[in-house]
Amino acid sequence: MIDYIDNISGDIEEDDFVDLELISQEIDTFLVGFFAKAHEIIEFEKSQIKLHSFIEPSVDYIRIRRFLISAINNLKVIDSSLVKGLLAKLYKDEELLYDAYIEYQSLNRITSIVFEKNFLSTQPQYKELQREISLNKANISGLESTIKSVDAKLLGLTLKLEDDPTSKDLESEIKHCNTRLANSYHNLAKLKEKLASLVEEMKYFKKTLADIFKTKYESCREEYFVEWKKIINIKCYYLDKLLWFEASESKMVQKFFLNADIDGNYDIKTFIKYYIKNIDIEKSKDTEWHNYLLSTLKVLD
Amino acid sequence: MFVEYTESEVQRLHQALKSKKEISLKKIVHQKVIDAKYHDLSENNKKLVQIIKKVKLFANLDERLVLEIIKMPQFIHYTKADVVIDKNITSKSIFYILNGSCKKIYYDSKGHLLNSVFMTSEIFNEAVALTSIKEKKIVYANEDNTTIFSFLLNESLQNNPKFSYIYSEIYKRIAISMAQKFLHH
Repeated sequence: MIDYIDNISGDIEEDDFVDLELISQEIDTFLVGFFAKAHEIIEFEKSQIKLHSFIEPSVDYIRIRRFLISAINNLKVIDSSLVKGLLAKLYKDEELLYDAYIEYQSLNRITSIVFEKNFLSTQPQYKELQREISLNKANISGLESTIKSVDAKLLGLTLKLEDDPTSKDLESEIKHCNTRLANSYHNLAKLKEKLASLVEEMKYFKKTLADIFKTKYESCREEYFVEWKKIINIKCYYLDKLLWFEASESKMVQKFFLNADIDGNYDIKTFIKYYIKNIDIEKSKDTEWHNYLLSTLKVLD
Repeated sequence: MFVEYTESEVQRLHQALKSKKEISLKKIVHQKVIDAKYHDLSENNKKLVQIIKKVKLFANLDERLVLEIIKMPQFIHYTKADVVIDKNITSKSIFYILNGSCKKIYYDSKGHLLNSVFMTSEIFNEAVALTSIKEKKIVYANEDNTTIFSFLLNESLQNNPKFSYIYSEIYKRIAISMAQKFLHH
């Protein structure tokens, strides 16, 4: 313990402590690994879009998606064999991509959690600081126990000396205890000072890293969000078009539309209008759904 | 994830993107007229036949023959004040009111502004359809839930002996309708 205390150096310069360039590189390396899966998915989908010349719609199909899924389910009720082959494949493909996107969004939304849980805990400097702080706290605790016991011993010796004031042994022992106590207090003060310094360093380290991490991480995350969303939008667009293309060829759907007196094209817009026409807003409590349908129509216009 | 599409699937996806099919009886009827030939009617044409049966103009006529001589059949629902025939458009269709009523506003030969009302089961615009004489008028729905069935007569079949009876019957009924309107006014 004493050796450790004796090795306590003076104040550490903050700039010496955090190598910004190194940290920046480490964050970059971390982000590559952290977003590896998203990167893989996005790059694959982008290559497919380029290969097949898939077109990006001007409309935000992700906003329409809720009704699109509802339309698929409704049309499935009309013609149970409608969603098969390519339509079923595209539907599943889009659904998996969308679910993964939502999961990705929810897991990576809070930067501070990713920073603490995924990044910081893997940093050697941070781990070393944590170890030092723990060790320091343990040493402080040990010294406090020593002080307590020496203090108690000193009290006992002082009482004995009152009974035997001429005892040289007692006098010598009391002197030894006093010296030991003084050293202990001195070391305790140094340890506490060191702990405060370590805690400060830890705070500085975390803050410096957090600032760099936040900028880099959020920019990276947003980039993937945008790319991923674009891919889902394209998938939704083709899913919608294919759904109505297949529906227009289904005798069951044709019959349903004719019987329902639905005018227009075989498309989602016509179906939304039919839906709105058939919702009794006075009786239906789902005004949120009704409003959503109206906003969806606006998106399509 | 990581789903790949075959060339034929991609082609179908692009085809779906370009497709814009109308929910229209016109196409269905047209297609049916080409290959109907008195075979069993499709579900779509059965629906159209049901409506033809309601039209007094075609009462007691062979619905299948009627199917063949009408072109561009349309069913449109109007709410009150919706314009049925715009003043700037010369429609050659005959309009039959299945439900509700319509009001026509027009100028007579002396320049007076007049109006007339057509009730359920009445036809209008038949004079224009038969004579092609332009008439400055506006027709609009006079009440909510007005449903109108409009159609053109296929003139190319007029000289076909198979349809001679049906054409003469329809023209006769139109003439009676026009005469009644004339007397009424």
